[in-house]
Amino acid sequence: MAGETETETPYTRDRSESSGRLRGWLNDRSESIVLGYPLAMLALFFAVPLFLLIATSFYPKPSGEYYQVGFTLEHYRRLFTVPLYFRRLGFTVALSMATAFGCLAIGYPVAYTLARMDSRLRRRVYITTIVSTMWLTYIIRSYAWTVILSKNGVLNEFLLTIGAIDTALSLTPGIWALAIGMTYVFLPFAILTLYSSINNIDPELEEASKNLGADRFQTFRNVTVPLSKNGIYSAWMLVFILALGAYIVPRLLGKPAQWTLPVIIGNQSLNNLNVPFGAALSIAMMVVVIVILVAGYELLGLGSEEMAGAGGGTDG
Amino acid sequence: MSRIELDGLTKVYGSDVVAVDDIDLTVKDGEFVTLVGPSGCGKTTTLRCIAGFETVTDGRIAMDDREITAEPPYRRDVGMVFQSFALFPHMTVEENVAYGMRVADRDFSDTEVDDRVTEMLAMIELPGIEERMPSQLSGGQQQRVALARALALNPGALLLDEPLASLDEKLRKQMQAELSRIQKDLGVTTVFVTHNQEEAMTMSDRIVVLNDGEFEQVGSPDTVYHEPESIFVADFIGKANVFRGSVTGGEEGVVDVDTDTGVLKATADDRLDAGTDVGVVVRPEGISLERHETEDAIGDGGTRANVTAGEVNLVQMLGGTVEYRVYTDAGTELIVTTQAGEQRATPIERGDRVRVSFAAERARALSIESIVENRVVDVRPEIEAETGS
Repeated sequence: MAGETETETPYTRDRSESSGRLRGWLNDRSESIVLGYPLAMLALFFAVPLFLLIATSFYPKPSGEYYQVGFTLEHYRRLFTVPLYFRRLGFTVALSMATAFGCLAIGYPVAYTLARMDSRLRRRVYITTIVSTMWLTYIIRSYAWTVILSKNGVLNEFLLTIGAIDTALSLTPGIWALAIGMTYVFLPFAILTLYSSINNIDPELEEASKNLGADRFQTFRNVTVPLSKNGIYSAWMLVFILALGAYIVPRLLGKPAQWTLPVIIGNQSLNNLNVPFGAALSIAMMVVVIVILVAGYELLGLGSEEMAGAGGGTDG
Repeated sequence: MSRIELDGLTKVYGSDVVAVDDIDLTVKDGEFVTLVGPSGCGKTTTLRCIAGFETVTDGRIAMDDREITAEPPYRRDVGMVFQSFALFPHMTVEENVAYGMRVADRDFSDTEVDDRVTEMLAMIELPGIEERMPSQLSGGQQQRVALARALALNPGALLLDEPLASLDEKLRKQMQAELSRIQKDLGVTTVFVTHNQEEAMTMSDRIVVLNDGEFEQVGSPDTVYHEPESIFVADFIGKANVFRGSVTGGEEGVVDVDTDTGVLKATADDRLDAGTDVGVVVRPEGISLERHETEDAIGDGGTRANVTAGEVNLVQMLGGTVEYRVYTDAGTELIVTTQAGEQRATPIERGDRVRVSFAAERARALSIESIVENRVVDVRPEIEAETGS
């Protein structure tokens, strides 16, 4: 106690009255200052544009111009009556979900192996390798896939050589090329998210499960998966959202029939000069995403305090 | 309940880190055996080999007459309590305790499971906590639930990996008694791992002292304490005074040892040839103290063995006993304990000159040959930190 006051006193005394008062003022408001900055950023760069987007979606679109200030439900009428747009939206959501599930299926075993790796050096090498695939932009990596999957590409050459196929496959652009490209591009995000989640599970819990007679699969199902549920949901959600917003990968690896909604929104806004309709499509997509994420969150019981639902399936 | 047999068990990590080196041990049906030793002595590795979490490099493990060396953990009939308790945080107490029955090949009816959970919770004296989550329990309660979970399937053996290490002193004492009670009630074969020699002494039927992956001594707590077979054991189990010297002669199990303190007479089990380097080990309670006013070295003109003089450096009241640190004229520090109630005309205090003596029967001469000197010194702080607390 004595030591504290001795060091404290000269320190405070050195400060002039006014700076002391300023410090006190800052201390009292530290919370609002710290939180105020991101709030202001959010308001400026998210809330305002969002409001503008919503407003724009109701603006009329005279021909030859981007938009005119006014009010019309024309764009929403078109969205709901022309089946093409809802089909494109459905396709986009389905593709993104498939990508997210694909990344989980491929990423989970990788993340698990990484998390349970004994050698820290080897683990670091692997993680660096995984992260390094993100150093190149999507554009280059997507082009790389068009080359690999093209008629004269490496894959076809290989399959022809081993005699698995007789004539070269036309893969790109196409739905498989698109699926492969999307999964490849977003896989690192899934792996890293899952890795940190699995890494937090005490290996002794899995040992305890085995000690009590649960085999590897039962242990995985009853202990590992429930305890990494948050990570699984985060990884899925992250990849799903990223995939929904993907523009370049579908553009390069998909046929026009497989272009996703972001590509169509881009075309409407830039090529057809129809900014209000592009805005309406964006809002439709946003609503669908929010509904899906909230539903998923509620369904998995992630909001509940104890994750009480998670332990239900202990029967083997 | 089962008998556990370890036969030449060896575990090597990587290419050259020998954690467990060719050990043989039979744990009898219903016996409580403690593996004790300093950090890194191989005790936990041995336990993990029995549980099946480590692949054995060499040797075999059997339970009763069934060899389980290569069996996966889930096909071994052992229950384990982990140091971290390892309760499943996403399951209630009931789901934790019932886990083994739920995943078992055999179908247990819901009533059977409920009854067993109730029975186990009664055993650990925590009835009615079925619906709590592990995070809502105190450390001691979690410990008990982990024990109930490990015993719910009536395993052939119970393995305990330092389960008391994370509990505070008072709770640990309480759990020691609790564990002993449950173990004796059920008669379950138990292998207990600890670095705390006091725990080992109070709870076990037999103690295995491990050092550097090898057995130093196996025996009852009483034997290990009173008849240590090596200086390491003497030093690790309880407190010990060690006088280093070399054998000069002797007969009939008693040898003369020339030390800095003079010639000491000590018992020796093995035949020790003249010239052998030995340590003479005396427990603190085996030494007597007398007030010694004169400045001469030793009252009897130095002819009697096992007598020396010194000055009291420190007097500590330890409840039932009093501990003295005596700095002898020969330059060694000795620990001496006496019963606190022992009446003295004038109590011995710090700074008093004293005469220190002990009978040859209380001293044991142990060969130093295989013991690296600093090794013994190394473990001392740990021992004292534990016994002193």
